[in-house]
Amino acid sequence: MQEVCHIMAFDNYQNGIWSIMSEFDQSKVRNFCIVAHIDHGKSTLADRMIETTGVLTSREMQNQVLDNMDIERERGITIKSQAVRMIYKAKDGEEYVFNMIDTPGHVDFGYEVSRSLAACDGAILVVDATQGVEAQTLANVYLALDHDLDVFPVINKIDLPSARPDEVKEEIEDVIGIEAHDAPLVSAKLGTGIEDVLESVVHRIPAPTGDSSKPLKALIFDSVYDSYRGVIVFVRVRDGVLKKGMTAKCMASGASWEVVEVGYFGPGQFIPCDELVAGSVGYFTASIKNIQDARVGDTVTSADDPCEEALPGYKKVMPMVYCGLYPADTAKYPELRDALEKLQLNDASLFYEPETSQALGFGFRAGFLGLLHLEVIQERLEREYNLDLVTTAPGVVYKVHKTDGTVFDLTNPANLPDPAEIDYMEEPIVNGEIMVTTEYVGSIMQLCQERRGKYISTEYIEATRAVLKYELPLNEIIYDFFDALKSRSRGYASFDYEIKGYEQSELVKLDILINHEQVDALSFIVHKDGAYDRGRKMCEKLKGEIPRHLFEIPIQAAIGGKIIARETVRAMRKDVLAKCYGGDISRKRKLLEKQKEGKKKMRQIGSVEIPQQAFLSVLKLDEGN
Amino acid sequence: MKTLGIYIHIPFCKQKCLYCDFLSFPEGRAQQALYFAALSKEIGMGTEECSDYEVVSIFFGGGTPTSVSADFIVKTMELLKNRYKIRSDAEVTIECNPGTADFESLKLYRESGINRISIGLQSAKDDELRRLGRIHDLKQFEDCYKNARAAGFDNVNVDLMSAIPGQSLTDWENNLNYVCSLSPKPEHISAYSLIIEEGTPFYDMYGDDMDGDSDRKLQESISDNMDGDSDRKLQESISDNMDGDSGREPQECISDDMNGDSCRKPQRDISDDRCGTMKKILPLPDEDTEREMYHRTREILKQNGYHRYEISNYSLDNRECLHNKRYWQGGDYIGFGLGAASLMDNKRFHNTGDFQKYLSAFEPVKAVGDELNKNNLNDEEKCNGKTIISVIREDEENLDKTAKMEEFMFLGLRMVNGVSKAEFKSRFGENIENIYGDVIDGLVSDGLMETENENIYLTERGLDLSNYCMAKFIFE
Repeated sequence: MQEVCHIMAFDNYQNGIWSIMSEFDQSKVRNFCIVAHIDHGKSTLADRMIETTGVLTSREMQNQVLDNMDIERERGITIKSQAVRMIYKAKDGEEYVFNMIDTPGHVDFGYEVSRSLAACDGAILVVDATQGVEAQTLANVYLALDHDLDVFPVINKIDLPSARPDEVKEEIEDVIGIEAHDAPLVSAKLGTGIEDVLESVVHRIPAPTGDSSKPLKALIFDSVYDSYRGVIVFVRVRDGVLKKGMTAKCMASGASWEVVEVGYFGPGQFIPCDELVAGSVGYFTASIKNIQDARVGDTVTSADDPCEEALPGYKKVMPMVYCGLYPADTAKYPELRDALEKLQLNDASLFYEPETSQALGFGFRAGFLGLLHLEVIQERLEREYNLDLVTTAPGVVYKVHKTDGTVFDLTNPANLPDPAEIDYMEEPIVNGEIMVTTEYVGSIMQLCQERRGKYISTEYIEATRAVLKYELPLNEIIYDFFDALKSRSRGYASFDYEIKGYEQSELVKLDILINHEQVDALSFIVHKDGAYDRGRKMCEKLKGEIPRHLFEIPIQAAIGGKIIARETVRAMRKDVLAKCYGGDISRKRKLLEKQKEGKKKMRQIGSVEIPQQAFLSVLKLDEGN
Repeated sequence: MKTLGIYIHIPFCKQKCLYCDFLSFPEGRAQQALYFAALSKEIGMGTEECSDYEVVSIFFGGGTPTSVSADFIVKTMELLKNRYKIRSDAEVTIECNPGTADFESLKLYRESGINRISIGLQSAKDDELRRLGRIHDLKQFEDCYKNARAAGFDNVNVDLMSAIPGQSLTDWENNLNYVCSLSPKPEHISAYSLIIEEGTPFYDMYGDDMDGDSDRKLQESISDNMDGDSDRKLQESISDNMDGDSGREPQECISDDMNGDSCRKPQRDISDDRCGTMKKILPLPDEDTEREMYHRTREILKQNGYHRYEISNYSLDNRECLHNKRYWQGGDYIGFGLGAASLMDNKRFHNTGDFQKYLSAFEPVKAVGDELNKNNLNDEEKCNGKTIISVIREDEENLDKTAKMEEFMFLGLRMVNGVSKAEFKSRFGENIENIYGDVIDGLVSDGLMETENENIYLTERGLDLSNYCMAKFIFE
C-alpha cells in the first residue's frame, strides 16, 4: 500500500514540482494561512487558489478540497487544520512555493488555530464584502498579529448585489488598523480576482527565515492518524533539517523515534521527499502509535543533536466541556469504548474515562474543547460507528474547594460532595465579545444579563455597529447561547470568546427525582439564583418527555434534599387504538409492533421507563420562550 | 367443511364525515356502475379459491353500501348466491346510513337475502350530528329504523359515538337511553369513542397530540381560536369540506360496528354549524369524562339487557355479530372490492386501495354479471383470473406460528371473554404459560388481566389500556 502511494505520488509530480524542490531557495517560499470570520468564504478562496495554481485539475477538485471529512462538508466548517503546497509562477517569471495552512474556523479550536498561525509567516484576511468586519475577524486578526504575522486583507463575495467593498475597506482600516485600500477584490465563488491574491502573497508575505545548519527545531501544528503509517506529524521547520532515518524527539512529551518518511503536502495526498530544510512546511512519519506523544504545539528536534530550547507556546489543551456518553443498548459498551479509542487516535484533545451511572449503567465521561467539538464527536460516533448514544447534559469543569483545604476539578455533577464539605466553588469565566448592529444592542445586553454576564464595555466601531464586551460564565454559553444570540439579533450578532479564568460563584447542584428516585444522570450544576426557575422548567420539560405509565409519576427538582418544583405525569387512562377496518389486522399489528419498538428506546429507571432524549432536557429549557 | 366470511367493500358515500378516514368517496352513477362491474368479476373469479368453503357470514361495508342504487347490491347478492355455498343460516349484514335507504330499497335488500342491518346513528341529538358532519338528522334515523323493521329486518345494529365535541356525560347517557327505548329495541349496539384520525378534517382541527394535558391544551387552543387567524383557518377547513368546489367533493361514510374502540385526542372543538360559521368553540370531552362515558355505557346497556362481548360491542342474547367475531377468532374470510382485507389459509393480504388500478385490472375480462347461471369457469378464464387477482392483491404475508400466536392473543383479548387456554393448546400444541407466562403474570399483577378456569381476559382497566396490554404479546 505504502509502496503504491509513493509511486503514484512520484508519477504525478516528477514533471515540474519535483525538480524545483531539489534546489530549495528560501526566498521563493511563502508560508501563510487564511483567517476569516465563519462563512466569509475562506475555504472557497483556498480552493480557487489551489485550482489556479494548477496543482489540481478542475475535474479533481471536489467542492472544497481542504475539508475532507463528511461532517465538515455538511456543516460547512473546517475542523482539522490541514496544509497544502502550491506552485505559483508569478508575474516576475519566478516560480514560488506556497505552503497554505488551513486553520479551523471555530472558537472551540482556538489553540489549534494559534499553532497553525505559529507555523506561518503571514496571513490572508478574508472579509465578506457584505458583512464587513465581525467578531471573529477581529479575534483572528489579533491572533495573527500576536504571532507576528504580516496580514493583508482580501475582500470576498464582491459578486453579491449587497456587496459594499469600499465601505468594508474603510472598516478594515478603521477597526483593525491595517492597510486595505489596495486589497484584492475577489469573488471566490466565481473565481474572479484570484490572480491578485496570488501576487499579493508573493509581495506581501515575507519569505521564511531560519538556518538549516543549526540543530533541528520544528513546530508540530497538526497531526493525523493513519492506520498504515501511524501518526503523520505536520511540521514547520524553523531551523535545521528533518531527514529520513534520523532520530527525532519531541521536547515536551520526551518521545523519540526513527523518522521513516518525510514529505510535502499535495492536495489530498502526501508527497515523500528526502528532507525538509529550514523554512519549509511538511510532514514526517515515524511509526508513532500514540497521537498523545506528538501533540500539536510540541517542538521536534534531533535526539542526537538537540536544540537548546523549545519553541514557545506549547500547552496541553484541556477539555472545557464534559458530558456522559452511554450506549443506548447497554450491551454496546465495548463498541463505544473501541470507537472512542479510534477517534482519539486522530484527536488529541478528546478526553474520556469510564464512569458508571446508576441510571444509565456503564459509559464514559468525555471532555471536549467546546460544544461544537462535542457535537462533532457525538455525530461521528453515531454515524461512523453506528452507535446509538444516550448523552447527558454537557457541563463545564468546576473547581471545588473543600473545607479540608483540598481542591478538585468537578466534571460530573454526580460527584459533588456533601455541601457541608464544600468551602466554596469556582466556575470558568470567559471574555466575550459580541459584535452587533446598534438596533439590537438592547436585546443582546438583556440576553447577557440573563446569562449572568458582567458588563465591561461598549465600543462603537462605526455609527451602526458596536462591540459589546462581557464577562460570561462558560456554563451559561455552552448550551444555546449562540442560538439565542442569533434569534435576538435576527442573525446579525457575531460572538467570540476566550477563557479568562476561574471565579468564585454561588453554585448548587440541582437533582431530579423521578418517582421519588434520584436520577444521577439528570443532575446538573446551576447558579443558585437561577435554580428555582431551571428546576421548574426541567420538571415541565420532563413531564412532556416521559410517557404515561400505569401509575402516576411525580417529577421533582431538589436542591440538597429540598424539593423546589414538582410536576406529575398522570397515570395512563386509556390506550386503545383498535381500528380493524374490514378485518385489516395487518394495520393493527403494525401499531402494536411500533408500540413495542418504542419501548426498546427507553431506559428503565426504577419502575419508570425514560426515553433517551429526556437526558438532554436541560439543554432545551429555553425553547419556546 | 371449512367456513368462510365474505366482506364486500362499497367505497361510496354521499358526503365524507369530518372524522372519517375510511376508504370512501362520493362518485356518480357511472363510476359506481364501473365499480360494480369490476366487483362482480372479482367475485366471479373468487369462486375457485373458495370452493372448499361454506360461507357463514357476509358483510357489506363501506363507505355507505346503501348510498348506491339498491340494484347493484341485489345483483351482487345474486351473484354470491349463485357462485358460493352459502349456509342457510348465514348472517348477511349491510351497513346503512339514515337518509340513504327508503322502505322500497330496504325491502329489496331483505328479499335478496340480507338479514342484518347496521344503521349509523352516532347521536340522537341533531346538533351533535351536525358537528360530526353527518348528513342526516334524528327524524331520518327514526324513519330508517321503522322502515328496516317493516321491511323484515329482525337483526339490527345501531352505531353510537361517544366523546363528540361538546358532549356531556348526560348527553351521552341520553343517547344510550334513546336507543334502548326504540321499539323493538336493536339487537346489537356498537358504542365507541370518536377517533381523531390523521387525514381527516377533525385531525386538522384537533391536532395530533394524543395525550397530555387536555385542560391546558384546550385553553391554548381556545385562545388560539380567539385570534382571527386560526379561526379563519378552522372555518376554511370546514367549508372546504362542505362545498364541493374545493377539488374534493363532499363525501359521506359510515363506520361499521367492527371499528369498536377508539383513541382520541382531546383538544379544541369546531363549530356546531356545518355551514362554517363559528358560533361557539366546543371542546372534546376531557379524558376523564370520556372514560366515564365508556364505563357508563356498559352499565346502562346492561340494565337494558345487553351484554358486552367485545371492547365496544354489545348485544342481546345470541345476537353477537358473527362476522366480526370471525375477525377476532382467526377464522378465514375473503374481502372483495377496493382495499378489502382477507385471511385465507394462513395468508393475510388486501386489495389495492387505488380505485383506477382496481377498475382497470378487470377491464379485459368479460362481464360475469350476465352469466349468473354459469357455475364453472373455463380454463382461459381461470388463468386470466389468477393474473388479475395477483395484480390487485398487495402485502401478502404468510402467518408463521409465532405470528399466529400473537394474533390469537391480541385479537382474542378484544373480546370480553378473552382467550381460552385449551384453545391455545389445541392450536399451537403448547401450554400458553410456557409461551406467555411472564407477560400474563405481569399483567395480572398490574390488575389488567385475570384468569378464570380456562379463560384469560382483560379487566375493565385492561380493556381501557388494551393496546398497552396487547403490545406485550408481540414477540421481540
